[in-house]
Amino acid sequence: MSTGKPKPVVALYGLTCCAGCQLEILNLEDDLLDILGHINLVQFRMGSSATHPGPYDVCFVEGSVTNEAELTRLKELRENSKILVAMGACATTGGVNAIRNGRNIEEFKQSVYGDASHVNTFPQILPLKSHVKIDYELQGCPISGQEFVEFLTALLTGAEPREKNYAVCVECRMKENVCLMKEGELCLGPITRAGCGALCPSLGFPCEGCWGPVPQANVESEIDMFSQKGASFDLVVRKFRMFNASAEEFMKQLKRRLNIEWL
Amino acid sequence: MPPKKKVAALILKKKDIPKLVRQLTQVLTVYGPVANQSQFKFDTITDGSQLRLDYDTTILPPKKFFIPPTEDMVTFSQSPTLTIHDTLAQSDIESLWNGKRFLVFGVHSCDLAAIKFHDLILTQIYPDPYRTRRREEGIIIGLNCLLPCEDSFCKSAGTLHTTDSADLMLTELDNTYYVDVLTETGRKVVEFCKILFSPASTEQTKLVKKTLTQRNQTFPDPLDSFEEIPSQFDASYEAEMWNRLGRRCFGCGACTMVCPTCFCFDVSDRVELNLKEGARVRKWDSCQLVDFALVAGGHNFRPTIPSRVRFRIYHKFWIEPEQINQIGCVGCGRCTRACPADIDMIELLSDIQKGGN
Repeated sequence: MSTGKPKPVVALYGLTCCAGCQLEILNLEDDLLDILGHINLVQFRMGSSATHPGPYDVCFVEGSVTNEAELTRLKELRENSKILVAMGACATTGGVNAIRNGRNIEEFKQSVYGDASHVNTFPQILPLKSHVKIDYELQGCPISGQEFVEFLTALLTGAEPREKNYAVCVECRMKENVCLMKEGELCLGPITRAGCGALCPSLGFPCEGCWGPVPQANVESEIDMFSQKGASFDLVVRKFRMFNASAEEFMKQLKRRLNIEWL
Repeated sequence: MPPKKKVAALILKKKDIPKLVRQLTQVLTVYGPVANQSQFKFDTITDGSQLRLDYDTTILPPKKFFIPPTEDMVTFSQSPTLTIHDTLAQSDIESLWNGKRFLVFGVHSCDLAAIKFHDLILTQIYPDPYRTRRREEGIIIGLNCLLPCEDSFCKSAGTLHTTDSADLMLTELDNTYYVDVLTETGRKVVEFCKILFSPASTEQTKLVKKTLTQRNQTFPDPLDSFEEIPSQFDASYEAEMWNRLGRRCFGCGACTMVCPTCFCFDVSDRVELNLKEGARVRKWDSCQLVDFALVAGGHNFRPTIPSRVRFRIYHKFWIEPEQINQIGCVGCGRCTRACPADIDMIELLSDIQKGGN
């Protein structure tokens, strides 16, 4: 940013979620002062009690729309923001909130809350882009602080943020990790978008798919490979639905290949 | 370059390897094979005991020392005016010893062949100053394989015997390594650590020859007429095998990341958060990724996974032989070992030989 120009007005909002993405931003301690030197961060509940009615140059929204009030809120934010960014798995794929999709929501409410008469929630969770126009997405559960900084830097310099349209395997091989699929594990890395730096596989844990589907994800082959490794249908479905129950292509293939009615 | 004078073969005792490493690390960064979970990788060696010269293969080839996965090509800074620093010209890249900065210990023949292949493409045909500089700064100690590794087909690919691009070549002989000095640089390394080397006896030379001859006979040779694959391509170009492979392939690019002969890269700019400094970065790219053949206007020359799988093989076994008269595959088998969809290169090439159906 050249000096003299007013700093862009930026807001961070949360819908239904764990607020882990905002926490990830608060954790950017080494970078926060630099970031605040470039932007006017007017709304960031995890960092400040200040509020701002808008309009915003850039608005980041974490979390899923789970009821009418949140849908109204999201629509207001859209109208109030030049650039609207969906932030984190809940916002980009529905995340763990979407596990309810296709299941009986009343049973879910009952098992979580007991008397759930006061709980007002949608039976189906969709990515934010299904509700309003989204300009950019930052994936992950939670997002990567580094990707957030890179994204912000691109916006501030007028560059088009680059999407990572490739699988976790690229980052995983560059880190020279032993391939967990080859070790017999059920790893979603081959069909999951990169950006995390292969965080879980680098620590010995198979990918759970929190960055969402990579473009042209070969879901059929992944189901085949999981089955070859002895995974039960139930386990395959759980793996695919943990973060990606709203990913249509994933569910369509699971339904077709495993013959599961409710998906 | 050939040695100025013929140096007789030498013997290095296995127990002296730590001493050799200690001596070399005084003047060079030394890389070598080390244990990496259940496999191996090339990494910095600070102590000879880390070296695992009994390794079968590594996840990434030694290519990473000559073409790093990511590398800054130029850095720029806007304080107070825009200045551009070519990383090639930066003085922090110091020659530590005789113009050399690093040494890679224990490189197998398949990887030596791949380095030679890159010398041809990236130094002679399309001179790449970054790779060429690193190549000039590196010393390579090769190591003959005496046991085949799983999934490899070096004998079929004709790289089992390669000593090209090595400065010294080691062959295990009981409690010692038999050392062939192949270049002037190799001679200097021996000279620098001469107390650790002794002349090889005629018996030892005979024994090494016998060992290597036996090795050549026992190594698997799963692909007959490997060099004829390019001419078999036309028949299989439209074959069903590419759709079959495309249904299995994830398009994840793991095969190309671990390939010792792949050299494609992408260039992008990184701007630091201070918005005053940055770098033009190059990073390994892969023809298996959806964006690889995407051009301005949104057209994609290879929009599907089957078209990209075929392209990778086509490039190595048809385009490169046409362009430089060499097959772009050294038979190391890393792509097979890395493939999460269990696609087997030997099987794939056999299918081409059978007409692709």
